[in-house]
Amino acid sequence: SSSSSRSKKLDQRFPKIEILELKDEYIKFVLSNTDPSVANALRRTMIAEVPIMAIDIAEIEENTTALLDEFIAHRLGLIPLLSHNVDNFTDHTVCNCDEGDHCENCSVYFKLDEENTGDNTYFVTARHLKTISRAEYMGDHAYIHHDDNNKGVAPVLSLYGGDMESDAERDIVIVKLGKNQRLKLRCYARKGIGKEHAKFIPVAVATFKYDPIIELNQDDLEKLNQDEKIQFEKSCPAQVYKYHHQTRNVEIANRSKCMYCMECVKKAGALGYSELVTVKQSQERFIFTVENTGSLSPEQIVSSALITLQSKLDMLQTQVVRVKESRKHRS
Amino acid sequence: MSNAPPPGDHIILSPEEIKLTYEDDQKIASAGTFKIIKEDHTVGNMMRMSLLRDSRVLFAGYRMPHPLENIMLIKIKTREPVQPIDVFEHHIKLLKAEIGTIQDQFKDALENKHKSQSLD
Repeated sequence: SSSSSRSKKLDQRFPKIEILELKDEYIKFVLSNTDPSVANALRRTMIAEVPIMAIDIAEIEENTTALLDEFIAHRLGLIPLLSHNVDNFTDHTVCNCDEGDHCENCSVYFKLDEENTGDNTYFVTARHLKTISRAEYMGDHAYIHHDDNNKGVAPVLSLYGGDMESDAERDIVIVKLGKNQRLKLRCYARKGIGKEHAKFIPVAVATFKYDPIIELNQDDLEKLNQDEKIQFEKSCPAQVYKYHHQTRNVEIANRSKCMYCMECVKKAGALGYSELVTVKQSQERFIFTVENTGSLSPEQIVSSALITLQSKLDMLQTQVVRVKESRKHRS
Repeated sequence: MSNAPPPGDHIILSPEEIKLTYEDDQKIASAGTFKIIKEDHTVGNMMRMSLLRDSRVLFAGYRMPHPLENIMLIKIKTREPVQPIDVFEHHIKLLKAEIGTIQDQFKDALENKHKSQSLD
């Protein structure tokens, strides 16, 4: 644009991404060549502004369980729903629902009807939520069979069991039924973000830490005797340093494990060499760990967060242009 | 319970609300305050840190005057003849480009990771 060609060109930064680990449950990557405010904005967006689907309204027809209606409705909301196609849904605040507050463009309908007809405790789990059509939700039983799978929105089931053996152990329990207790309800899910309610948070954990910058002063290091070197090595609880007997030297073996406890710095000071080591947090390299809950894959969470950040900045850009235009016309 | 704001009130703009307004400072030359509604530190801190790295910016700060009201103020003072509103626009562009670079980098890194994982 004409104004920026005359103004000083600021150094444009070119961040880099390197993926360290990528699993179904988490992703670990390094973001470098940018500053903490950008890293933090990404982290905040991943937690609070990435949209996913979650059950919002539950109409309970029969509840003879030990839990209150609203207790069960709360638990239903917290069940993670597979949200890979969340972009195909409209936001319910702008949706043109023909009648009422919901339609198939913005909502996904479920029903649940479980009764304990046996003698043992019966677990009602997320697996018992059945997808239904809007017609069935509204009570029109002529259209019970429906082929649409709700754009793939369904409860997250039995993904990460760890030591758990069977589906029954891994499924998310909604309520446990005693003898003759029954739970019958219908509900619908919609799109939302973490800022509105914690049930819309796609991550279990989204953190970043600063990459450690550790520098050993070799001159001072040579002045230590073997015993002191071993003491220095052992002072670190994360085993960052390693003393090699062959070379009689201490090296940085696991730099990334550093927890900034500064025990090595304190030890160096106690041994009389306060300049021996410096431990700093990089202001340019950040190591992200993002762990999901099953509603979105870790890559989708990061991609969605970046898109969301862009659209926020887009919105601000449009607004600034509008303000500039209106000021021109004033004067 | 009756004075609770409607849900989504702190996220969604109502029809009469304006996202961003700008006012020149009455007493100080080439300084002004942006008032942004329903945004938080995610955007505010990012903009502020970017502005501080610009040598044309003499002052840049942001605050939320009250936690119960979703209003964020960003105050900028620039070295004349540069105007705050132009510098603000420039930094939005810079940040958009930076996020765009991160997006491309992430896509490439994912492709490489998928390739190397499928070879295992």
